[in-house]
Amino acid sequence: MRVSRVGSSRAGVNAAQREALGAAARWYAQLEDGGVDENRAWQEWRNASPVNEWAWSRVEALCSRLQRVPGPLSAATLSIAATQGSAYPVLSRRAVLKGIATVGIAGWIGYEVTPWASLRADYVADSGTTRAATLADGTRIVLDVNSAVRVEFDADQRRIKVLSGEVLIETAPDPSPIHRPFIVYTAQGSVRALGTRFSVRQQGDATRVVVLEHEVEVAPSGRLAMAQRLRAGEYAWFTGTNVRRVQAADERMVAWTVGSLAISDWTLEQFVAELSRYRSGWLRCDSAIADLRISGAFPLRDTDAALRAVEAALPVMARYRTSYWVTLMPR
Amino acid sequence: MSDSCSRAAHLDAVGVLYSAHHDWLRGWLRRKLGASSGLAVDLVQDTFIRILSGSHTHAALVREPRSFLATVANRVVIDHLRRRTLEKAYLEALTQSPEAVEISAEMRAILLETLCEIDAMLQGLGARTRQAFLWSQFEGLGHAAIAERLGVSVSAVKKYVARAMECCLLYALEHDAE
Repeated sequence: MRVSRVGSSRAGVNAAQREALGAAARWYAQLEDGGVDENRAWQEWRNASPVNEWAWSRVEALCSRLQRVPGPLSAATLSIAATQGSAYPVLSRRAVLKGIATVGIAGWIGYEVTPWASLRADYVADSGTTRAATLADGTRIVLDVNSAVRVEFDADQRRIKVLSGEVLIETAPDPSPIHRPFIVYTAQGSVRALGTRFSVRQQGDATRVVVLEHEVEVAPSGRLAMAQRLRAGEYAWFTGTNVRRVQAADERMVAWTVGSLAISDWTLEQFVAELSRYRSGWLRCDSAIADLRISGAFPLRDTDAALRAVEAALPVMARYRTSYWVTLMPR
Repeated sequence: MSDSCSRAAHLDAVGVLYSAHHDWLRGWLRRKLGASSGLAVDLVQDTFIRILSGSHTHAALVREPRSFLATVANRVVIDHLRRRTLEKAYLEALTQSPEAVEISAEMRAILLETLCEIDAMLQGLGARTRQAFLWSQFEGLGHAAIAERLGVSVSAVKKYVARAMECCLLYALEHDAE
């Protein structure tokens, strides 16, 4: 993917690059709304010269950067900001706010702050593979993709900090003569293991705890009085101040540990957000089909196969601009 | 001439500028903003951080230190005000949202940082161009839907989106430190 800097000076852009960027921007606009029939001409354009390929890689890099913010909320913020302050030409406030009635926070799901989290981690799984490890006390952990944890064991405590992503934990009886509690920390609070098998997922501003065996105690860091026990077969999300509704959990929620996404009655949008965690590049679905319902088990180690399974199950098609940029469209 | 040598000279020159003029700059900012001294102090720091990390101007080559400082500080003030506008806009957008979710202060800061950057990328674009790009990029609206909202043709929307994309690409190339 890295074709950048084709004979360019540090900050300057030469005429050929400038022209290629302009063409890439036009192709972007064309493909964004056009049919699949454009694909061949676009491929030919890209193959015609390395500078075209380079320009396209810039488009992809920019899009993936823009994808990192919650979409509708960002659009609304930037639109409102444009109506304030004289630095910008102004569209009427009413016209801008028309779009905002539909602002949801769904786009937030994709927004995760991983880059520096992984810098100070003990165990990291990047996109593409999960990772299993056995800790000093015999506890087994499995890291989901794009996940990072730090392990801090000392004489008094066994601590795991989830820096990003999800980890499944099977605690072992403590070999130390003095019992040391086993506690998992996230940005929102702590999860104390009272039993043996559970998963902790840090996503955005919340943490999800799924308990598969025995019990854990969940405590939001901002309000310890909210601490609450979760039993086997239960899961809940919590924030720094609040434990949300406790719901029924089952093994399917940690099917990722065996490379499978098992779901029932999810929206396609939810499904795409989840699947894209296991793919590098950009995967999204057209808003017209976002609310379609989907159930089943999908392979996470071969996400292209998962997409084919979706195409077979629903009236949708995956449009590949590159393997890094895939959009699910109505068929 | 090695880079590190000229980098060291740059740092030295910034040090000289700082000790000679930071009091003056703080006074200048306070007069300009009529604001609390805390803000002026912060913005003095921001100004020097920007000069330190700036690759365009070598501090040792500055002839008129105060007018140079004032120019950079002006930019810092504008960015600061823009950031405040974006913060307010963000809060307003949240209240308009049917399912507002509170996020941590840290996440909010990171989000706003990114939004400021995108805002800067789109600077200088016409109102329709900017709006068309926002709707298509962040809300996944099709060109036909955008055309209807803006009351223009679909081909015009395509042009808007392409122009905005080109503008962002150029901005990103110029400003990516790497």
